[in-house]
Amino acid sequence: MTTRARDNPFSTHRLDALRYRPQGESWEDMLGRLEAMGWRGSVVGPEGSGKTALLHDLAPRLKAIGLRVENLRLGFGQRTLPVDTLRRLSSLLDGEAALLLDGAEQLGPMGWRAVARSARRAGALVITLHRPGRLPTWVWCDPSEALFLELVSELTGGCSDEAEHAARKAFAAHGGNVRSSLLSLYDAYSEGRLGAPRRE
Amino acid sequence: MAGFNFSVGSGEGQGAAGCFGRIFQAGFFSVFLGMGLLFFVLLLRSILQGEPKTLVFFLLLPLVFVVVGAAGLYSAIRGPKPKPAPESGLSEALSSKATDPRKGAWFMVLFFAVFLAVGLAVSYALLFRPALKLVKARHWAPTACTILSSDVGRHSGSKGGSTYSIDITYEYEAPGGIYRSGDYDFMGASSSGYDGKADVVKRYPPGIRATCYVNPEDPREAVLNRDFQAEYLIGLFPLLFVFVGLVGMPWAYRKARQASHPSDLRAGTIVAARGPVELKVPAGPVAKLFGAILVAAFWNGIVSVFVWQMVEGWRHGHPDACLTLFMIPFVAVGLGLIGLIGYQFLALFNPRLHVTLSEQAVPLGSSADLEWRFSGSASRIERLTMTLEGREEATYRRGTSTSTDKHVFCSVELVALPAGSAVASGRTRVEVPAGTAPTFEASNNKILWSVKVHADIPRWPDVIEEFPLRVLPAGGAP
Amino acid sequence: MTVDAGGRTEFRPGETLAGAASWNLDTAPKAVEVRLFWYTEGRGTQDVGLVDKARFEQPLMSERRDFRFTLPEQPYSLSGKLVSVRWAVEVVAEPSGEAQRLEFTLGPNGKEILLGDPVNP
Repeated sequence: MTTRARDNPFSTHRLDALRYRPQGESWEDMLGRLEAMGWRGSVVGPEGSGKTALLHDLAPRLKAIGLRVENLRLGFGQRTLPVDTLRRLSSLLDGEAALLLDGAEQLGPMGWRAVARSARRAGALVITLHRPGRLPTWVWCDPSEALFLELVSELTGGCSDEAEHAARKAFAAHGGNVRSSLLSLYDAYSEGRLGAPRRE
Repeated sequence: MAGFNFSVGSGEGQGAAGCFGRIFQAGFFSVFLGMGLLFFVLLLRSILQGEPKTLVFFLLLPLVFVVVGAAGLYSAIRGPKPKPAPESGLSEALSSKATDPRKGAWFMVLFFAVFLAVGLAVSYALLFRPALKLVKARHWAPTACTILSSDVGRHSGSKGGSTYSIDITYEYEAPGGIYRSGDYDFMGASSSGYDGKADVVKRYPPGIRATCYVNPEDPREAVLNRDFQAEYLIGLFPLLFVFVGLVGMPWAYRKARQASHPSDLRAGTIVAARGPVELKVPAGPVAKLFGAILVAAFWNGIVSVFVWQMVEGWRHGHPDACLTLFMIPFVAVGLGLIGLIGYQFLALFNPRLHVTLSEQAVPLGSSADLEWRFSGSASRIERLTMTLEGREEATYRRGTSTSTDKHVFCSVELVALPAGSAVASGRTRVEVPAGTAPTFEASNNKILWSVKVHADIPRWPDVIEEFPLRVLPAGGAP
Repeated sequence: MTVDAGGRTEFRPGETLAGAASWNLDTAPKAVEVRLFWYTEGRGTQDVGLVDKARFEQPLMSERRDFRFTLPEQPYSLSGKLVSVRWAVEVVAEPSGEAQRLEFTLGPNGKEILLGDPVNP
């Protein structure tokens, strides 16, 4: 019998709940560096490298220091923002507010200029990009295979040999894209190919 | 303060498919906008040239095209509207992620209604009205007239090209006095092609006596040529919009109803209309052929521009190897799409399947009678299988694109017949297993049931159809 | 914050789910809502459907309130390979967003339907 969807550790809601793991530094170090950059920086990394997870975990930390957080996530090909969105951003983003912009690489030059203009008074502006540019690089997301195996182990409650082998293969096959690699393990786990299914 | 959280184009339908969709959308609405402007100019010209002033009201119709086209083009360039995104941080409430019904779904119904209305109105102006006049004009009295002036009118187009019209003025006597008319035929529009119009003008030099045809009900109306001409076929074009509206409106209505009531969540008894229903496929063979032609025409239309450049380069001894290599996959896809047209065309001649179910929805653990009938040459069918299938569908975000996985959890063979008279028509019992799940449709997760039919026709496209079936909870009244 | 459904966790469609929500917060909330909803888990992006709610305006910092919901006919609690549908009652304080959830199953026998399995007895 296949694993129930809700028991599959690679179900999307479990992947969305994965927290960002700072590599070689603490959150305090990272926030200190962002402050030194004037609270403006970019999170750079390829697709599936944890940029969204980082922004997600950054938000409560910014709220804890008194900033109101506005989240914006762009889809594929979103080269500009609607005028009403930009107007709302301009009115909301004051010195007490932070804008977290996920997917800024989608914006065209004019779209980025419009967003930057709307956020010029914001207390903090953090964006995600696939390549450096637009804002100084604050964090470079480059997950290693070791980190990926750590995530798999956390999700499955301990990595069997089959799971580790399958995980390594998936990570290599998806070019280091953590999300795609984890998604690709869903079927394998469901069919029992990663060791005993986990039941709640 | 909750903060301002939204995702703009959060991945639903985005990715490469979404990008292509937006290019297609931009191209489609550009054509819409262009046609609106063209019709507006044509109508305005007709009015200024003396057409009945009631045509002024028709000016609103192409303006609707212009507005819709401009809005659609702007939307395609801008991208999807922002949608609420789950707030990160403090709220732990899962129930806060519940989304509102998609109000935008009803906008699509209105959109297709506009398509239909405008298509009908323009069809009336360009097709039905001229066609009616063509028919009535068979009884119009031939009347002697004198040609007063005769010339080929030249009209500058928006892109620097020119269109031409037959500008002939003539005078005739009819009950009520002496009249003048400038109508050569019932179209009166300008178009490209100078030579044909010049030939007509040559036949009607100023000063000669000719024959015109006068409307006995309104002597002010007359034409020199009451015969059908190829130009009248342009009136068929707005039928395309009528077709899109007729197909799009019920589809959009179904989607809007789904969005408003994703799973019949009201407490109380589920009630579905009783009685037999003919199961419909989402798209019939004509619609599939039409769709294949549209897609192939659009794709190959764009690709042909580059292919032409490539061929010209080779012809003139300046081959562009990079362009040639680059175009190979696009040409391959284009050829495949043309092949698809052929396949869909052949499928038009397949025996047509009609399936009727004795109940419009079947509760779990219950059954319904299914009758099928093939119209056409059912004797060509080598084997017929029908299967009741239940499947899960899950849509998820993969980077900036989305994917949908499917898994069949229930497959019950209903019919498996070799060639013979039993294939042409028959009846079977569809028993929905108890202990499984009723139909469930949410935005990203679905439990769907369908009756799948496969009629194997040797050396010919098979008949492969899937009829959605609504399965109710156990005890739901059919 | 706690929420209970009268000690039951298995329900049939159309039954009444009667329970109580209690809370003991640091500050008096603007409102407290008890929400009845279903949600999905599995391969697909999560869907959540709010079916009913009971709202208590300007409650005390510490209080206990009863609620009643009539459960709909569907969706059933189910699990397949790709999709699981689950039901829950959740008490949420506004504006803090603090919440507590109680899960239950809704089905013809009160049990979760397992897709692809033989009929549940």
